[in-house]
Amino acid sequence: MHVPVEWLRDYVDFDLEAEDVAKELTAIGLAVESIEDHHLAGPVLEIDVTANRSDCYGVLGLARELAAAIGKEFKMPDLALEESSSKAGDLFTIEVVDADLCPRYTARIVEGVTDCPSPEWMQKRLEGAGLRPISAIVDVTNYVMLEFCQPLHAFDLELLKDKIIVRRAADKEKMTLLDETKLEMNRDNLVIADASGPVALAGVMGGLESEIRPSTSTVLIESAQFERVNVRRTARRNGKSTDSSFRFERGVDPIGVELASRRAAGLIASITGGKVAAGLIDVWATEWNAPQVSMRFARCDKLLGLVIDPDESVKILTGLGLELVERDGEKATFAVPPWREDLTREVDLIEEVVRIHGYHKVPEALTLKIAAAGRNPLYEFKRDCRKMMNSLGYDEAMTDSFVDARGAGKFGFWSGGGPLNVDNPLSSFHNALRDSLIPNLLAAKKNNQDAGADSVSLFEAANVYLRDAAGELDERPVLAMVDDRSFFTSKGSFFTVKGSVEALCDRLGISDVRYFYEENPRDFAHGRFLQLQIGEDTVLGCIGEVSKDIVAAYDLKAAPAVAEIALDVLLSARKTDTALQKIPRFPAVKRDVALIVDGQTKWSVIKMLAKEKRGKYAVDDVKFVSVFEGEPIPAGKKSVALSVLYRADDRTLTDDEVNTVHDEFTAKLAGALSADIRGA
Amino acid sequence: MVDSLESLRVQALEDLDTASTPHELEEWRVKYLSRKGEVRKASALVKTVASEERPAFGKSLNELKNQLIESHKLAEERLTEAEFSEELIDITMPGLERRVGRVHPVTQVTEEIVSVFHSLGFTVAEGPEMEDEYHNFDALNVPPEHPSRDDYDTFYVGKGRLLRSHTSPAQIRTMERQKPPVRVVVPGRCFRPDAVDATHYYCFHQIEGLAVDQGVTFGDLRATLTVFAHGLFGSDTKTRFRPSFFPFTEPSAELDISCPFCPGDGSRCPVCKGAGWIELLGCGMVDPNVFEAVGYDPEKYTGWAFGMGIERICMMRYGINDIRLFYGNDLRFLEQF
Repeated sequence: MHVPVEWLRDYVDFDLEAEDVAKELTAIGLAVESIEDHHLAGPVLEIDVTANRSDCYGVLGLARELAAAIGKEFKMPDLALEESSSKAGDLFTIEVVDADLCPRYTARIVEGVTDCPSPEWMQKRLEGAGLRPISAIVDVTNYVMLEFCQPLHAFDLELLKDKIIVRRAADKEKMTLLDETKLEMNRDNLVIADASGPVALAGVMGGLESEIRPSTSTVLIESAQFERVNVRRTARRNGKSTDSSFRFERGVDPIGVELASRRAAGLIASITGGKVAAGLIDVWATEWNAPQVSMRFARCDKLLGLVIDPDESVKILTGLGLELVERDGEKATFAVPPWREDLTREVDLIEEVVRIHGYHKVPEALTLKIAAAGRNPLYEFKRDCRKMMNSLGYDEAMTDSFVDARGAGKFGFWSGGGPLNVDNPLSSFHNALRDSLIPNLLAAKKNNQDAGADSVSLFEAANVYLRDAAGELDERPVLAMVDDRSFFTSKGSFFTVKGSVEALCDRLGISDVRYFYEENPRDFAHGRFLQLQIGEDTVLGCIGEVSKDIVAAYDLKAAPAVAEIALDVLLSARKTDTALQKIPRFPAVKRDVALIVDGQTKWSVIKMLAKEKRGKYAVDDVKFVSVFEGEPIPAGKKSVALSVLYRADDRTLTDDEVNTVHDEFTAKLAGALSADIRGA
Repeated sequence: MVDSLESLRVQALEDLDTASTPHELEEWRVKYLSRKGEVRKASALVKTVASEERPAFGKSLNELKNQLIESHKLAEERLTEAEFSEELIDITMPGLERRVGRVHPVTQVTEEIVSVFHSLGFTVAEGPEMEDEYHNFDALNVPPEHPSRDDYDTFYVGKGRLLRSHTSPAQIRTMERQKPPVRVVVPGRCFRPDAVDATHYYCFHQIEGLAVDQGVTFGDLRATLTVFAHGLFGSDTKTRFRPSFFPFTEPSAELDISCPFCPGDGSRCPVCKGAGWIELLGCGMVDPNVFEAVGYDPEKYTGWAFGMGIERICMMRYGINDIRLFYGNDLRFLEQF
């Protein structure tokens, strides 16, 4: 809301410079964003009016606020009206058909008008407020709209046929607005119509046909109250947000409707030489009664943590236009003026008192008692996971929640439904919610590749959005990573990522992780995908190297590996038993064996057989040491080395004892695998 | 005799030269300097020396013994050094390359803020990002089809669900789940369909706080936020409280802080533009309508709430002038934090 400082002087006596006026208004809640020195209007304040103060979109409302802030009296403009012998009621008829959408409709008529430019003082103020002066009649309606926060409309009476009817439009009824837009309306739109059809879109904009012309000599001034939700909908659906609809949406003062009408009629008459016909045509469905609200003084003090003298509270509230109805030692009751619809409860009055009293006077008085913060296991767990990922060399990324549903990469692993659609996306590239973090991590990898990064290891711990089995919307916290580091040169990054996931599980004390090799969703490279589970039936997540199609779709230089695991599952599986495990008293002895097996033999098979065949004193699982192919190992075969730990509970084992058991074990294992023992 | 001593000396020193390991050196010592060693044996030769030559013999023998002891000591030192410097390495080369990754700057700032409130006894609470109209608007006293909703345009995801436009719905859920007192801090991701530019992105993070109990006051809100401002920006930070409006608080306020980023060298501060103050957060006493919605008695309980945008604070602190950098995840950006 732009207001020239000079305009405020009509209603409040003050001696302040623009900067000080700005400070006063900001201190009571009307934040002044800027002060512009307008070439015509002088200093103009740009005020950020909050959504609850519809009255502050009018200069009178702002002047009242300033008066309250600086403790001065507020003066209304002179509304005395000289009326002619002509009776407005004889000249025209108003019929309101849909009173639910138009609680009050008033009209005043000014005859013998000769339109002309509006006076300089008015033009300056309009310019300063950001409106363009046109000619007196229209300028007055704009001026009074700004002054009273009451939108008005002026009709050329001679162009109106028979009478005004305030009604809903018929389905598909058409009209042309004064900005030449052609509209097709429906029953949700309220129109001002005459006998031949719509002449204005109520509360929004006038029609082209009844516009004020240079030859207009009889003006009908409309000042009305239109139902705000309907004005808002109508304005939005037709894409017409105007100064008028803006104010109706926020609610106008039902009493101010008449005052603004009087003001406008008086100004038009005095500027254009017209005569105001006597009387107000007024169709008013309901009578307005001032609501009453009470405020308890003790409650005010208690809420604020500050003692305010009740006399001051009463003075502040009456200074804002509330009328004291009654008062005793404990509370005061006020009648709320019609322009302050936002004051309906005691707490609203308390806010008025404290903001005028001064927020800077609110003491800093800590009353919160000392208490320890509670725990939030999932939040703390996410924090721990981030640190663990950092120590494995990953940086945290934060990617968009949106994806393109048509885009490359169906990595949705948690539910079959595909990404959820967004009804009103900002663009077609962001038309769905991600059901996996992987696509956007791949995009982040691509960005970094383009920037010349050698190596990209990123993780993200965030929510994915799903439809669960019952079709209900669900979100899950997951941890995903993308990695292109390679430690086995020709085998890509698969083992890097697998190692990261294993390190996490190991660090969290999760022992029952199982791998499934069966599924091979098309977005992963053939044979390079693993599904992970905890125990029998709890899905943990997946690991895989992306397919060539994905590499091409994202324009990557090489195929990175990715993983995505469910944080809630990981948290539940984490070892929490902290009782000390007995530390073995006697030392363990390590023995290795290298077996030359068929090249297709899987480690999981070797491990399983080793577990079966292991001998006495063997403790823990066998450990993978290394794999070797090439000379001198025969073609089609590989050498797999593993180590075994032996330990007794009651003594230190001798070399001979261990050798005997180990040799027996290696022989059995080699036999089961049809393998040779290397170096034997 | 002297000749024998001399030849013993020469032999001993030659042998010493060939000792190239501590083990060989020890063998030499045993051979020459131990109780049954050559030097001892040589001293037995004194009997074969004429009596007037015995003092001279004794002196030569002593000299020999001392020289051999000295030489042994030097050889010992030499070999100890050699043991450790068997293989020459270029110690100026860089060490084994490893990386410790970083947490995203938005996470870092979130954690700092959480940490200050945690120290004041605030528990972390989180809520769903996909919300419903009731929790995102109605329970928060934001009426339907009202201009106050204009500030909270939302993305819709079908079936009356939407992406939350602020983390406040999680506060409602917290209050639905428990009875007062409540003391929570609520970080999380929010969404608004704003056109994207240097200061607006459709995805962003907020952190809100809520304290409800008997006797909680506006003054307490002001005091707690000042404590927080000191905790995050330093104990010299000044705070300023001014009226504002939010549908879910009454009275409402905005907290400004004295700009902690001013260069102090006379040049214009890029953050506060010379005003000396920056807006930090919005706050206020919880509106009684909100308490009614969650079933708390507003006569018995009062509370306050605040909310701030994380990216904004991060941008101010680090001089980041484009919010899109947070979501681009360029390592050249991430690695700076």
